[in-house]
Amino acid sequence: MSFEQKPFLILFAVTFVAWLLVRHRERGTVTLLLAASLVFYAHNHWFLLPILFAYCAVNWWVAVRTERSSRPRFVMLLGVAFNLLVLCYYKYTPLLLQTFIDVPANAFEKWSIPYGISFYAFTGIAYMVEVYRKETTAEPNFWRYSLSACFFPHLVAGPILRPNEFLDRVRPGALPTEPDAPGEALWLIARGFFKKLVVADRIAVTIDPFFAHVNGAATEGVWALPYVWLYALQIFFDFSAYTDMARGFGMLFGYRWPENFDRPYLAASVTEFWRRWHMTLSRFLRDFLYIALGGNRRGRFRTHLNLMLTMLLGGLWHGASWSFLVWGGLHGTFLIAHRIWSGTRLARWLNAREGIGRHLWHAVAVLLTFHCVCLAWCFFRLTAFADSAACVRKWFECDPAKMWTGPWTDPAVWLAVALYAALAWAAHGVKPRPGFAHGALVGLRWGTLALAALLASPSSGAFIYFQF
Amino acid sequence: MRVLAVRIRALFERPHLGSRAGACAGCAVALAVLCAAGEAYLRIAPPANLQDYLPDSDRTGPFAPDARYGVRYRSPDALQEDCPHYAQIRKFAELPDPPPCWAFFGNSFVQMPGALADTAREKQTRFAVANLPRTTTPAPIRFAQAEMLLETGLKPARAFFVFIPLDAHGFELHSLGQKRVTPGGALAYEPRPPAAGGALVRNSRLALAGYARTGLHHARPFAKAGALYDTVPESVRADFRTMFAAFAETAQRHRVPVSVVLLPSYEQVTRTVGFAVQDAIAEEARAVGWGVCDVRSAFRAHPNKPGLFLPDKHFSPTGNEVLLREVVKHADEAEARP
Repeated sequence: MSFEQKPFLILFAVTFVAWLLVRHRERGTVTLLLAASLVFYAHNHWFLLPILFAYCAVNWWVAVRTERSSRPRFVMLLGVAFNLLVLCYYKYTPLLLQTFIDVPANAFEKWSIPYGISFYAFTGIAYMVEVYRKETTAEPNFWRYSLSACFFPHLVAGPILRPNEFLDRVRPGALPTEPDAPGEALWLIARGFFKKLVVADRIAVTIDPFFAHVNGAATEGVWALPYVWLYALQIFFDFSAYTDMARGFGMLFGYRWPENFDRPYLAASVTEFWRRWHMTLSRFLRDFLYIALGGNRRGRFRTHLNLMLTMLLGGLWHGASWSFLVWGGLHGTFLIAHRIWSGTRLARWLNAREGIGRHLWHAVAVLLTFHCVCLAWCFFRLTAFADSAACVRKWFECDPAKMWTGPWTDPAVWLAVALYAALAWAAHGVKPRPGFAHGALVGLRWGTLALAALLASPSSGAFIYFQF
Repeated sequence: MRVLAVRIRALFERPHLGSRAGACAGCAVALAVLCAAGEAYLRIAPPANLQDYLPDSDRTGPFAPDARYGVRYRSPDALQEDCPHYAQIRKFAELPDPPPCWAFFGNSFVQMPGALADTAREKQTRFAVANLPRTTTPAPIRFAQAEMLLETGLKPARAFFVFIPLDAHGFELHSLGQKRVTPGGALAYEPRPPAAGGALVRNSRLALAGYARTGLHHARPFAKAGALYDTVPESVRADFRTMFAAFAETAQRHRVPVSVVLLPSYEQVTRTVGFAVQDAIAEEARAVGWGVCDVRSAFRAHPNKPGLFLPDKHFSPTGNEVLLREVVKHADEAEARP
């Protein structure tokens, strides 16, 4: 089930109305939200429920045992190993068998990866490790823990939540009984729908044919760079749309979750990009992998090695393809290059500029960062290495006569982006004061929701991050 | 730019408006601005599904308006552009003494590789086969194709019009009367007039988009394709009647015998659902003196019914062979009749 589909909207409406009725009774609230989450996850995929149940049961048990055991580290590691092994089994079996054993490609046609497994596995790992580190306490009630792990807004594509961001709000006495800032929640939902249905799906229609034939005669001489720019926008709008909606739906039930994106393409370095892009994943990788590997405490070489390992594993987390490894490797290389560059005299001199020189250098850095990220996106979007390489080649080799023609010049795409930018600017600019401004905000929120429905692209695809 | 931004923000923050009146005014202003933005967007870049309902748009295509079928091909060149296979048929028709041929008109059940036309070409040798593959071929376009072929010299021994139940559903979505052609020659549709606010829908693209999202713009709003198994609305029958009568006149002029071939759907073969749609089309075809090849019995009597279909519910090679056998039998019987 996906947020933009009719069954979800019905499920949400029914759940929300029922929640308004039972919200003052904790047991009823937990039962209702957990049941709704299971229906959400299992809709058309009932066979996946045992996997989700197993994750909840193991993680809950491990956390409780970790707290009571005389060998907490061992118990915690068992739990982490379970999460990773099941995740790896589903995600990487086809890749490994096809790579190391001569298995035909069509042998895994019916192999399906449980939706959201990467997200709920990481949420579970974060919980167990934090219990082990005594940063949080284990939740003794299985159902309350399961609700925190399975709650439908964040279940399939995050954000990846830490116990203090959600689990602590489902503990006895802490369950919210009122929506948290419903106006803001409505804006997040409206904005999410607009980003997905109007912008991301419209971009998809424009660029999909190019990427489908990127290594073929049909795209010979076509300039690839605008399509990669558009893909960068598509993945941002698509994924941030999901996060916005997830946060909005969560707020309607009283839960406030952290931001996942902060204008990532305005980052002036790849290091800064990772502080702005998929922030909850970056935070997870930093706290549970990079720092666990030693972080930057063991000298320059180990720091660079840790950075590279973290990004390679982050790449592999996205999917079972060597191209994701390349994507992670490229980001690791950019991060290392940025660390080295930051230590040079020239970088310090440029960063110390004032006035127009500073702005100019900042603009150059933003552009350079954006194109580094775009280069990596080529390997993320195209999982066949020959296709990715052809795409990068076509950044530089193109027929000048074909440069400014083709689907990427469709004004509908750029207008959709501009329209979203205008809406976001207006919503950001209006202060929620009584009277005219308050009315304008309400109109803007409901109007954006209506506009998303009216301007939606004719074909709507699944959220990109559902596959991870 | 910054001054403009400050001014606009100041406008939103004007404190002197009374609270409730001010809120209403603010809401109205915001909605008006958004409507204007949406309208502008749809005027500059309407999405493809909206363009179908803009008969005055600048889309181009091979068609011209036609009172009988809604659309016809503008010229042989336009047909050639739309269906490149037409060049081969023209060459065939221009032969001094062309061998007898069958002409098949239909959707993917006829046109896709390995479907009826290809099976007929491969499995029988008495007749050459003429067909015009096209991405989508709604029923009126099949008659437009056939008319252009006949007018430009093809004289088939028999013309077959192949229909599946979904073809009838096409007239529930857009009736013959709703078909339009843009000035550039693309197929478009006039939305069904709304019960209220017709002027708004005609003049505002945002309103049109909203109207189209409701499904009320269809000839028969909310009609379900599956219902055609049980009853066929009179409006759908009337559209078939109109097309059949028009083409019967053309076929008679060119002395080409015509048959309709009625295919059963997967549901009709494998489950116990009705055949009202085939019965209705057969009745209309017989009324203009055409032959009717209804293959339901052969499909329903087959020992391996699921094996007659591919996973996408088109006919499998076995299904197409069964179909061809029935078509040949029907043609032989029709020839034998005085």
